Amino acid sequence: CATPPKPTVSLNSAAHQLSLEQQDHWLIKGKLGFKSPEKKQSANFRWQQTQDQYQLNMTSIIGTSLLNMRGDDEGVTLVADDETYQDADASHLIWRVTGWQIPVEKLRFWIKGQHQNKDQVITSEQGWVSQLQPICDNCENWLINYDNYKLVDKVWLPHKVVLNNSLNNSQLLIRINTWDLHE
Amino acid sequence: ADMDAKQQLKVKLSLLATYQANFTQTVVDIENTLLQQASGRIVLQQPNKLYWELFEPNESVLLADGDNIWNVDPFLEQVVVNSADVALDNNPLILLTNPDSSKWQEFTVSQSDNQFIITPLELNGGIESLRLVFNGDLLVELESQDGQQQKSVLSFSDIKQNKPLPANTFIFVMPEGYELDDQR
Repeated sequence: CATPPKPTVSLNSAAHQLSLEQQDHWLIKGKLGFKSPEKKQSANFRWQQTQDQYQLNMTSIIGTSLLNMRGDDEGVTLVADDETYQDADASHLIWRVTGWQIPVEKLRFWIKGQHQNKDQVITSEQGWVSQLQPICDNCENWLINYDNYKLVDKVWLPHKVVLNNSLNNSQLLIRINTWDLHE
Repeated sequence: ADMDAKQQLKVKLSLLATYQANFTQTVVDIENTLLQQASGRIVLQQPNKLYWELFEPNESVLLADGDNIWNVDPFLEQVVVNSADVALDNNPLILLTNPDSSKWQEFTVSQSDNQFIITPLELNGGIESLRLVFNGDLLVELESQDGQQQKSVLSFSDIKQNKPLPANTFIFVMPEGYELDDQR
């Protein structure tokens, strides 16, 4: 046949979740897109996470800065169009400045396909999460689909994540070109 | 001083009726953190015509055809279009294709041997300085810096100057199934 058969992967999902939980120092580069009835925009992005500290950079096609956001559990600073904004709630801040709906605090876990016990989850035959419906306060309007899992330093990680928000009928599309996991 | 540098740059740019090159793009932030590395292709033609493509996995196209600026986004299967003069306001990139435009008055130019730095008099976001590096009359590097001191450096290769271009180089064609976001 044209393409070699995919090696059958069958992970113990609990073990896989544990391997995801251990990854709390990583760097992602890829494409971020946001679609809502009002707007459709995309940008190249770099997202670095170290425990609760994160830095998100969004860059235009010609290399100029569209958005630069840094923060941790205490607060967040965001720079866009040469204006600087600060807030305690990153998701609220990025929404009021850009109109994008990004669950910043939770994305730290959701981006990996990591879930809590009480979340509603569909696990693929391979053992990783293919759909996640989070159950937590002000999480209920999110439905997340995962695709294109690849092995990165012995950890299976999604390279396509689509977060659907039923509250405002918006969609956050994330295509991950590279995952870098730091020990 | 400034006048000579601007004059010298205009002379060099006027030699570039057309310019084509492949490039590697390296984008770093103010702390020199690597934000993005991409490869792509640029085509310039006087006046006011620019084709800028980033290759996979960052595939996207920016096309200035003289009247409009088309931004083709395969990721969202969408094209955003702005009128050229709106975008040209302080985007020195397109100015490179128009050495005798009156817009040059809105920029200062400084020179140190084979490098020219173009800076808009009025800074209002977007590109705040553009550095061109020549090797003789060959444009070999282009660095832009924005209001956040984020730097994008293009290193050119397979450079062709003043070669004829295919007729449709700057003709925009709407890709199949894409949506148009018309912001004109």
